[in-house]
Amino acid sequence: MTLLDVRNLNVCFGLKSGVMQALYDVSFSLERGERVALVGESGAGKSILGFSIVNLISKPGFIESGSIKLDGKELTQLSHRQLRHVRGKRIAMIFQDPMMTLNPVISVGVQMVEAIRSHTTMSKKDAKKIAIDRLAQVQIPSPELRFDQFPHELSGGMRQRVIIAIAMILNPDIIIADEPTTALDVTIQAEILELLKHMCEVCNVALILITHDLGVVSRVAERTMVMYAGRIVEEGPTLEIINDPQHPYTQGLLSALPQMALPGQRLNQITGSMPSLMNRPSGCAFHPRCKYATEKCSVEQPGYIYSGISTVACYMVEDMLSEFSEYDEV
Amino acid sequence: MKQSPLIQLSGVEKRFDIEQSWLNEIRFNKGKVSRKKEQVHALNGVNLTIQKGESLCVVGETGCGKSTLARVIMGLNSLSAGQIHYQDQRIDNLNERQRMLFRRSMQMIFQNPYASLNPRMTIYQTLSEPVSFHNPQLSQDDVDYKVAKLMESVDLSPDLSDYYPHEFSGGQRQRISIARALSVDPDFIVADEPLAALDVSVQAQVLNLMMDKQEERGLTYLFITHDLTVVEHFSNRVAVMYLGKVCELADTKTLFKSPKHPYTQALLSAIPRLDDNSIQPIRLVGEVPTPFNKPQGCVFQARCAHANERCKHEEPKMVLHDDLSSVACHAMEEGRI
Repeated sequence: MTLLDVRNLNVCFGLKSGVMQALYDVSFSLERGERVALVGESGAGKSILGFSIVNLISKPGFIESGSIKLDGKELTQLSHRQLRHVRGKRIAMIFQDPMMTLNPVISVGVQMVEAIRSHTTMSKKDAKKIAIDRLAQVQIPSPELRFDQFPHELSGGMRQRVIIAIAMILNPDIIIADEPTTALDVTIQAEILELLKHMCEVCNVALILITHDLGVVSRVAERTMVMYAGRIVEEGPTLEIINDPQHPYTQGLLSALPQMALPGQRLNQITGSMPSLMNRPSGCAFHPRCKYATEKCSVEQPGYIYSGISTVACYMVEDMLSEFSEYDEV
Repeated sequence: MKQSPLIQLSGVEKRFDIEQSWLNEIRFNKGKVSRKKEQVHALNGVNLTIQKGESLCVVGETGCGKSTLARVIMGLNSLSAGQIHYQDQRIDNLNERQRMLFRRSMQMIFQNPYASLNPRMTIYQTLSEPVSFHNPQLSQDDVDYKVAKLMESVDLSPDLSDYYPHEFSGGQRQRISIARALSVDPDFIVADEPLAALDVSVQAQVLNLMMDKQEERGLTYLFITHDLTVVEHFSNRVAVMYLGKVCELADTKTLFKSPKHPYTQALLSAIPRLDDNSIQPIRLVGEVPTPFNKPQGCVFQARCAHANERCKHEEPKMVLHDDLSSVACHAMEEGRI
């Protein structure tokens, strides 16, 4: 049975100047122990999607329609009190900046014990034992010592390890990691990613990794979803998407990477920039920047179609596929 | 490439005093009272030569002194020791007025285009100010013409000149920053992480623009970044910094083909690759040391897998190798790696 099932999710923000739709008909599912990446540029709605799964969207944002099911149980209808049992316990989150996530005036250990005791009836002593155990599991040297230290006494990489330990502490089913390594250096980023992947494998936890870095994706995730202007435009196995991207936006995103050109050569660039969600273009939101755009693209939003490699929302791919099938019939 | 040095740094050191109350500075030492100031050693003797027309990339982790290096070259921070030469002229000891001559030929692009443009100045004001300041003889029409040309050169329509920075996207703002740097026709541009705040597709636009301008005007770049994929694509030579020192300096091709310093090897193995994930990242033990106290011996020895007694006591010197890369490492010298 699918662990998490998101169907036709629409998230809006009521602003003075009107309603801004941040997510358009987002649907995806997640199996137990699966690692999925959510890729896109800033403003694509990746973080909003991550937040809306645990209903962390603050006013003026709201979930307009759609369903989010965890193990068959609807999450969008839960009250705040009921949601509190899901957040942290079944679905944990890791945020970008570890210094912002940890409370600076409370020691690391107390924060960990607090997380355990707010969801279970464990004694402080037992909770401490588990906390130290988890610190050791995320490869923090001398965990007993670190237990009593404050966040400012730890380095950036160490703090992110503590956050991972806290996220893992109640054996959640899903971890949503929102750009967990953006604030870190490359060498430490590599370590944290390894750790995150390892912990997910060991504890059979599903991971939703939100990132803009396609290199990070290929290292960690089995499946990738590419988002553009609030909509998933392509979804499929990571390696296949990287080797043979179908959607023009994914193609552009990949060919804009410096790795894809010979040194000194000009990089491929996507003209223009991501539209603001306030004035989203009609039809396919990518059509003003797309070199394959036809008239149809500017009028109607393309539906999803399976190309044999990935699921894509693009008329160009659709036309190509129907051409192929005509050949087959002849 | 012609080998004529444009900028030469010799033994550049920069220390920052840590601000604290004088009571905290008092120390008792063998019955005597003394005052001691804590200092951050940001740069510990950097020797670097930047050739005319090349793009030299400086890479390293947070806190290794990359940005301080950029700032001392530009004269935004004074030096604690050492010298900087521009062509044949020493520039680190000049006063403001003498310095002004060199500001025309050296310009800087900053990391965050949201912070480095004045939000209360229109693009026209931002771009025309340096033009008319450095060329007081120009008439108003000439200045207007020059600003329009500048905007065109960075693919912005001159009609947008009366807009304010907040009306532009991040990539457009960074292009305006580049236009501002180019407005005085410099020879040398220091770019301090110009792509860090930008999205992937916009990064490509800015990087292409910088390469175009280099070709057009024969610019020399000092490009500071932590993104090694950009380095591989953009630069001719790379300087790897660790804790205020350059530990490896080599041609880009040589460095990426055969990294020599253990730190460079770890750094390169950590790049998230798209296709090939067979390379396991080399794990560095320990944390980045803080630059409060100048470490003895090799700066990297605490995290190095090849460190021995000599590394703890003796500071390694830059040694030139056959493939023209220079590396500061005892283990490399002794052939232990």
